[in-house]
Order: sequence, then structure tokens, then C-alpha cells
Amino acid sequence: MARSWGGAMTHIRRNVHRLQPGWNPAIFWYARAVRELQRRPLNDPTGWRFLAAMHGFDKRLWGVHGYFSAFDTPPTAKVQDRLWRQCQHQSWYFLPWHRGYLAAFEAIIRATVADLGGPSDWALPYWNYHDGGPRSKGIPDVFLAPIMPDGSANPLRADGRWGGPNEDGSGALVDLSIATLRPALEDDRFERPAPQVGVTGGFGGPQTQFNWHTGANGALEANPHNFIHGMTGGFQRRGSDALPGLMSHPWTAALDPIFWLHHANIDRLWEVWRTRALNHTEPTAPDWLQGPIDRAFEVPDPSGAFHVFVAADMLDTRAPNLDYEYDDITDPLIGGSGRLLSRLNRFSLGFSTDSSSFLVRVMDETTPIELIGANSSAVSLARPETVVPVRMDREGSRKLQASFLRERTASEVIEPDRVFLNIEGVRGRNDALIFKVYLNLPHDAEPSEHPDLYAGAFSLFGVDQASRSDSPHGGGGLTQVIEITRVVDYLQFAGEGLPDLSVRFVAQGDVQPEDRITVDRISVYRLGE
Amino acid sequence: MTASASTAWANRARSATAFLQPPWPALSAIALVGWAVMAWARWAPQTLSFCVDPVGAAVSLHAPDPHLLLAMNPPGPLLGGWMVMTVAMMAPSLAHPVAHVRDRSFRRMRAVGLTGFAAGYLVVWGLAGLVLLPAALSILSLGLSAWTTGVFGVLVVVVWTFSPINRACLRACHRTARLSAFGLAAVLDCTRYGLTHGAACVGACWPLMFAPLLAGDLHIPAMLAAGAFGLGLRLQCLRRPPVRGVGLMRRSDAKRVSLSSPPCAPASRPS
Repeated sequence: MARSWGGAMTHIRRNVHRLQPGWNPAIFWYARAVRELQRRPLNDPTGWRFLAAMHGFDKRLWGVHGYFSAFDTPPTAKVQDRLWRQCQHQSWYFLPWHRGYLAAFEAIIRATVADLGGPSDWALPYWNYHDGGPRSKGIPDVFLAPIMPDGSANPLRADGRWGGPNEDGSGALVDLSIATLRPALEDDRFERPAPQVGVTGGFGGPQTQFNWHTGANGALEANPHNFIHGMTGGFQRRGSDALPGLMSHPWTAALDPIFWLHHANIDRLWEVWRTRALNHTEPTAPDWLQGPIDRAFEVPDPSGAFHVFVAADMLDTRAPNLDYEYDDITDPLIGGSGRLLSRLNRFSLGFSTDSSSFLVRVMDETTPIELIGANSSAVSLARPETVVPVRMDREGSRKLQASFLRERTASEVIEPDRVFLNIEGVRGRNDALIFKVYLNLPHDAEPSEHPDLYAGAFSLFGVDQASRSDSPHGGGGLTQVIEITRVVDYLQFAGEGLPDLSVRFVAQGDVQPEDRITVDRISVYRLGE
Repeated sequence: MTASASTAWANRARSATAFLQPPWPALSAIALVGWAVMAWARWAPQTLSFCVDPVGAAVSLHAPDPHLLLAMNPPGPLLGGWMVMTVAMMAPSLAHPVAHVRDRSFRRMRAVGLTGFAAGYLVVWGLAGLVLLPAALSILSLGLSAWTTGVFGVLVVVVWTFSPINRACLRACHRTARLSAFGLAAVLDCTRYGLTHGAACVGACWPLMFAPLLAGDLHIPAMLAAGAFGLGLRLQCLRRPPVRGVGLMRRSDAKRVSLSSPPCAPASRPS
């Protein structure tokens, strides 16, 4: 018999920054319930720490942050193997797993709120850092307050929250010049088939089995998800080592009460993506719908019973097992020109009033991918700025150049090649770091004065786990993919072509040699015929 | 509805479509060629040998005569057979590293890079054969029954499979290498990757190649079983740290365990 995790009504998740400021009922009862969950023992499936450990767990890190001690009794190794450390990253299961995880958490909090005498229709608020409000780029004030209205300690305030202010000069926590929405929302494909090199991983992530930290991010995971983790958690130096803030590391992220509001927003952006274009659809492959097959996703309900779910169960938020919807899923990019239109107009190839008479051949996921350049050796990103020369292959550059010179015919417009920078095999010990990437900056140039040469940024969220040789994939590290088509277009216009590239990495924050940030290879791929 | 074992098997069957993606078909074809060569060699044993000869080994024990031992187990065909056996059994497990080399090479360099990788990989297995073949010969020379040596081979597989070293080697199999893109450095990197991946592969799978040598007349079926088992090991998700590495097979979907007292209610899949 089908069972529901929640009740019969559809619950509305609302923007926390649009709620009444201060201790509004949604936040007040969230805090009360969090406190109640935090009192429960480590091996209680409905307890705060058990739920957090389902995302990730590490004795040392938890101990340093004060969430694990010798007096705790963790579940058996068998139970941990089944239920802890489930979080899916660098995978097309990133969104469905976190949706099921959040829904289970929300149901447990809602039941606890009701038990405490609060409203029975409580729903998880979301933190929309992009809503344009004056306070939206920061954590809500009530998450920073030391005490609750009754004078008791505020359980929403987490000690290991060391992020910001960011370096954009605004003093805000979130830097919206880095954490953007366009790359993800304009990615028309949910998943990226193997190989996981060359182009971005699709909106939802690359095709994998159950995946615990290795490989390439999906577009939404890379940006804004990863950036918000690092910007919120930050890190502290303990001697020469970096101690990541709670949100900065996947093993501790879910211990911070703001984690759940951040992921509710990421989940909301999935709804935004799927409603903003008709071709934005999830995979229909059984491997995804009924996956993963190598390890089941399992979450507890308020009674402590566990439920197995697959990706197909996560497609309708109003279904009984999820039972929620968002108050706002309007397209934040509405009114702007999309990726293709912007590009065609950039080349004067675009649509005018008679645009419908042209057939446009687009470089998309079905187009072949080809390596066209790479650097010569592994590099260390131990300094605030690191410049790496990338040699372009003559044959590949020629094909790329030819794609820009293609004649437009009367009936057909062919998009020039798209170009992607791959930062392969990123390893290190500081998950909180973020790097900006610039191409062909003059030697003594100030990066911020050259926005046309800004390619993008990447976060190291998950790099610690991905670097460990005893991890499932042997410490292969992370792969970061940044589309550099816009910068390459600019270089074409500037008459520079693409003979060789100079890639400048600019660290956002205090990077030290002890962080051991290394990159196996920096390569350039073209997506073109 | 509780996820049933039948659903799990149906999922596994559906996932078999993944084996239609490159480079699986090419690697499967190469493996099939290896199996075909072995089948052919059964009719032409003077060309390639896939089993050390227990008769020769036993004779050599009782009347140690290196000339007779070499006559019954000539090194050339024996090592040649070993390499064909390696290709047949190990090729399907190379999809991941082969794709790694292919996707990180310029198009015109792919064949060279893959050749370098294959050369490095086979050199390591060849060296392993120089150790494992004499070892098998020594065991067979004890004059034990085929049943006894076969059971011994299975025990070696079981013990090694559950060992932490095996888990570490399997993790090393998943680790990819940095590959240069240009010129000789690209070829050397691919060859080096073949060597390191081969070493990890030997560390993880040597018992699977060793045990069939002891299986007597069941040599070919033993190879088939060992090859399938090795592929499963290579593809499995390695979540556990090596010190606790005892779980090789995925638990049943239907199996549930209690976490606390009172026991949790039976889990069900929401729908």
C-alpha cells in the first residue's frame, strides 16, 4: 500500500526574505523543532545529527565542530553503510536525491512542530539569494541572533559559519558576480552523457551510478549551489591547516540549519528550469528513473521507518510523498535574450523580424566534442594568482577559426563552435575556496578591470573527499568545466584569434600552499562539426 | 511498495543497455577474439597453451628433469596463451581507462595513445605471468587431484577478494592519470597509465587469472566465471573504507535492519 511521508494538503514553501522580518512563525517553529531534533541521540533516525550524517559524516570534522564525542554511540557500520553518506554530487542524481532528502527532513520537522503545539501546515522556507531584495544576499538575521525571543539559546545560529563578507565590496555574504543563474537555467539538457569531459555536465549533472564525490558537476550544482556552500561556510586557519566551516564541507554541511533553506532554493530552481522552456525535461532513461541500481536511496519518516525512493518518485512535488510547492517559480531570466540569440546577435547572424525564415543549426549536446588544446604539466594553485599557459593544437584551432568564418546562407545559420575550458583532476584540502578564471589577461592587468576576459569561477566544494585515495574512485579529484565561448567570441572580435591561451586563476580568499590545491590538466574542448 | 528483488533484477537488466555505449562494443569484440583464439587453440595445442600440464609437472616432481618439464610446458606457447587469456578476461573491464585515454587525446593521437596504454597494460600482465605460471606449475607438480587444486584456487580467490589489499587495488583501478596532449609526452603518459593501471589490475585480479590454471579440464568454464566475477568487481561501487571492506555484493533491496529499539517499521517505497 502506498504510504505518504506527509499529510494530505499541499504545503507552500516561501521565500524566507519575503516573510515577516524577525521571528515570524515559520522561523520560530523551525527553531523550536531544530532544538528538539538536536537533543536526540546520534543513532536516532529522526535526530538532527543522524539526518546530517545521511548527507555526510566524518568523526574528526564533527568532533572539531563539537558534534561528535567519545560518549556518542553511532549506529553500526552496517547501518552507516546503508543510510549515512548518501549525498549525491557530480551526478544526475544530485537533484532527485536532495529532493527526497529535503522532503523527509521537512516531514520530520513538521511533525515535531505539530508535537510542540505549532502549526500543522509548516513548510520549509527557502533562501533565494537572487531575489534582488536588500538583505537577500545575506543569511536571515534570525539565523545570526544569539538568543530566541524567550531568552534561550538560538539553535539556528551555528558556530561554524565563517563565510564573507565577499570581495565585491558590498559587504554582503553572497557575491552575485560569481553565483549566477544564467549558465544553469540556460542549459537545455538535464543530463550529460559520458564522457564527463569536454562540456558542462548538463543542468542536473552527468550520468553516473550512485556517486559520492568525484567527476564533473552539473550546471546547477556548480553554480550557484557550490558557491553558496563555500561563501556561507568559509573556513578558519588552525595553524597552517584550513578548517572548513560547516557549510563548506559535504561531511558537515547539513549540520547548519541554513543548509536546508539553501537546498530548498536549489530544489526550487529545478522547478524554475523545468517550467521555463518546453524542452526542459528530465531523463526518460530507466537508469535514471529507477536509479540508482547499485545503492538505494533511503530516508526516514517521522516515525523512524525508512523509505526507499528512486528518481522517478521525485518528479511531482505535489504528489503525496512530497506534498509541497513553491510560492514563486517565475523565470528570473525572463525578458532577456537567451544564450543562442545573444550569440547570434553578437555575430550579426541573429534574428530580425524575418528570423523565422532561417534554419538555425545549433552546437548542442549532439554535436561532436574535440580536444583542441592543453597545458603541459600539473599545476599548483598555491598563490593568490596563478597563470598557466595553454597550448592550442594547430589543427583544432584551424577548425575553430573556420567555424567563425562560415558563410551564412540564405536559408541557414550555423552557430560557430562553442568552447569549453576543462580544469581536470582538481585536488586539495580546502573545500571553501573559490577561484575566478580569466583568459589572456595582460601581464600586469587588474582582473576586475577586464570583465570581457572573465571566463567564470569554480568552487572546491567536495574536493577533500574527491582527493582521498581511499575514496571510491581512488582520489581522482574534481573536474571543473567552464564555457568560455563568450570570451573566445570577444577574442575573435579583437582579432586575437585563439593561438594559445593564458589562463589566470584568481583565488577568492586566503589560499596557502598547505591547502595543496593542484590541477592535473587544463584543457580546451570545442563543440562543433 | 517495497522494492523487490525482481525490481532490482529488472533494473539491472535495463542498465545492461549501458554496455552498448562505446567503448564497450569494441572491447567486447576484442575479448571475443581472445575467446575464439582459445577455442581454436584447443585444437592446436602446439601453438598456444592455456594450462600448465599437470602430467608434465607430476613427472618432473618424481623425476626432476628440466628438459622434460620444458618439453611438457614450453614457455613460449604457455606465455602466449597467458597473454591471450589476459585479453579475453580483462578487456571488458577496461572501458573506463580506455575512454579516459580516448577522450583526453587529440583525435589524430587517439590510436597512438591507446596503443601505448595497451602496451603498458599487457607488459605488466606479462610480468605477472612470469610469476604466476611457474607458481601454478609448482602446485600442480605436487601431484594433487584436480579437485584439490581447484578448491585451492577458489580459496585463493576468496581470501584475496576479502582482503584490504584487494580493496585498495580496486580503488587504484578507478584512479585516472594525468595525460599530456602533445607529442611524445602524450604517448609516454598513456604508456605510463597502462603500466600503473595494469599494476592495480594485477593487484586486484591476479587470483582470478591464477585459479583457472589449477582447474584442470574445467579451465575454460573457470575462466568464464572468473572473468565475469572480475568484471563485477571492477564495476561495483566501492563505498567502504578498506579497513572494513568485507561487503562485496549489494544487500538485498528487501532487507531492512533495525536502528534502534523499538525496531523501525518495515520500510516501504513511497509512491
